Amino acid sequence: MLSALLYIFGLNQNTRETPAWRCGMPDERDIWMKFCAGEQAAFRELYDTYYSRMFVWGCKWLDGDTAFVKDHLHDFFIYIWEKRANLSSDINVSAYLLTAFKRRLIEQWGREKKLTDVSSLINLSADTREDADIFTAQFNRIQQALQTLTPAQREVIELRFLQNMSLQQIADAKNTSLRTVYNLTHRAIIQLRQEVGKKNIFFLW
Amino acid sequence: MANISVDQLIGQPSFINYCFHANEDDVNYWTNWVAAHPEYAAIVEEATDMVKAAGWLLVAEKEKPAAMAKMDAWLLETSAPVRRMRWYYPAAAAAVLLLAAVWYFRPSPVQKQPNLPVVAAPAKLYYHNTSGAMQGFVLPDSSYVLLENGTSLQLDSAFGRSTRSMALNGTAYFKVSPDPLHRFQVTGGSYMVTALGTAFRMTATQGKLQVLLETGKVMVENSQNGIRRLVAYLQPTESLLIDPSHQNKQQQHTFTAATLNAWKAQEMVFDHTPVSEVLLQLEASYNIQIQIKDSTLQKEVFSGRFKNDALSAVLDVLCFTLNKQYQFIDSTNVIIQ
Repeated sequence: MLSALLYIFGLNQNTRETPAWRCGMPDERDIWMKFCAGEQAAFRELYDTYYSRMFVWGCKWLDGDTAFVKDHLHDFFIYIWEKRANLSSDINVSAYLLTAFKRRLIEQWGREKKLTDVSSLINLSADTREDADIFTAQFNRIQQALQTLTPAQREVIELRFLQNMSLQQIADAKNTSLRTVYNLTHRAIIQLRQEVGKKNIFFLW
Repeated sequence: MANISVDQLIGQPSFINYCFHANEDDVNYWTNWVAAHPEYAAIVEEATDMVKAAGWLLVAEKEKPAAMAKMDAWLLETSAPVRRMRWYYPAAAAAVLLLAAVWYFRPSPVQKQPNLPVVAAPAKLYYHNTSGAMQGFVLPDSSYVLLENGTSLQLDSAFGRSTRSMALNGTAYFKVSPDPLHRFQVTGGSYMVTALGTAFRMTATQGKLQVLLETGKVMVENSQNGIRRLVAYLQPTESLLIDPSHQNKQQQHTFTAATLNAWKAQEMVFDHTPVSEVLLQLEASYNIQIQIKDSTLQKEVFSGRFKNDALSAVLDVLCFTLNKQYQFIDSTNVIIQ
């Protein structure tokens, strides 16, 4: 059952270059325009459309701190709704939402864990748009795979994941922050190296 | 181990345990394995990402209904000061109307008894049509249902006790017998259609839902993780189509009665069918009322096959076999004598 689900992930490895979400672009842009114009229905629809994607995206950056992601996803949407007057209506909605949420999430996470150097980590990964596009394509694949399962199959997998999740949370409660810092730092350094490689300048340390 | 791929890795329960740090032995095993096979580092990383993301997605979907409700509450709260004044008078007027309606439609003492027929034999709960044509059935509550070929209908084991619930797979037309005390509910996948004294056609296959409402009123809901959400209320001649695979997921249109009637009468096969059932199917298929003067006729049987035939053509054949005459009183009432 599980292997069937994951088999589909494997099969789709080669289709990374053609993100399916691009087909939905005009529709998305339309909702975004209405959102900027202050339509509550559009706000609700945007939240509905992006909830799962952004939830998983947030978990990816905070290494599964689901409770933190949940709270801040709600706050993030209210935040952008309240400052909608200042938002540009002509943007790549998906990339904008993902990068803005990531930035805000990591900032707040750093504030909560009383880390001072988090902002430097975010700035290092300024160009996350490509990252966001790759993630969206990957997310769609996972979502499609989960949708092909029957409710019963899903429930079995769900239980297993959630159970493992809670076990993990108990086991790792003490070093979660350490591990996440490590992950963030690790990613930032990789990214910096790539940047440096691209621009072909001298590496000074 | 040679040629390890992402899907091989994520197919292994021990690898999933490793991803979620669930089992110490598995974590140790895979940590050592990764250290010993640095050439697979990229594949392991990708597989780990996939497993974790799938888990988070499940968490997200579990959290989503509550999150949507929280956001709705926030929206209501923030827009309340503006709306309260404008909503007050219509709301009061609506409340008065509602009270009047409740009083007017208060159940009469007679109606308090559920008007379900007394069923002596255990009721049939599963209906499956493999006849090759449209087939009609009378449900235990005397509602009438027409099933398209290949369609199955499973009644809830408690059918008629507190609600009239059933699950549909395929396409069916329902002519619901009025019973205000027992809701008539048809589930199709995650969708639930509740009828309020109604005739409607419903299709439920592979996550798709289509409802065409002929008369009365139906409510369509979607149930996810036990939380029900209202999708739509339909008015007569309105149709609703929900297709998750389509870009425009939910569409609401109006349709003409002729479309539905053509579907109902497309093919009817009677094979030694009691006349009472033949008449029920004709009534449902052509939206008519048939009165029959001679009650002994009901016990006779009839065989015949009709394909897209006009009502008069069908009645000609039926009455010829029964050696009777029919007469149209008006466009929807027929007498056979």
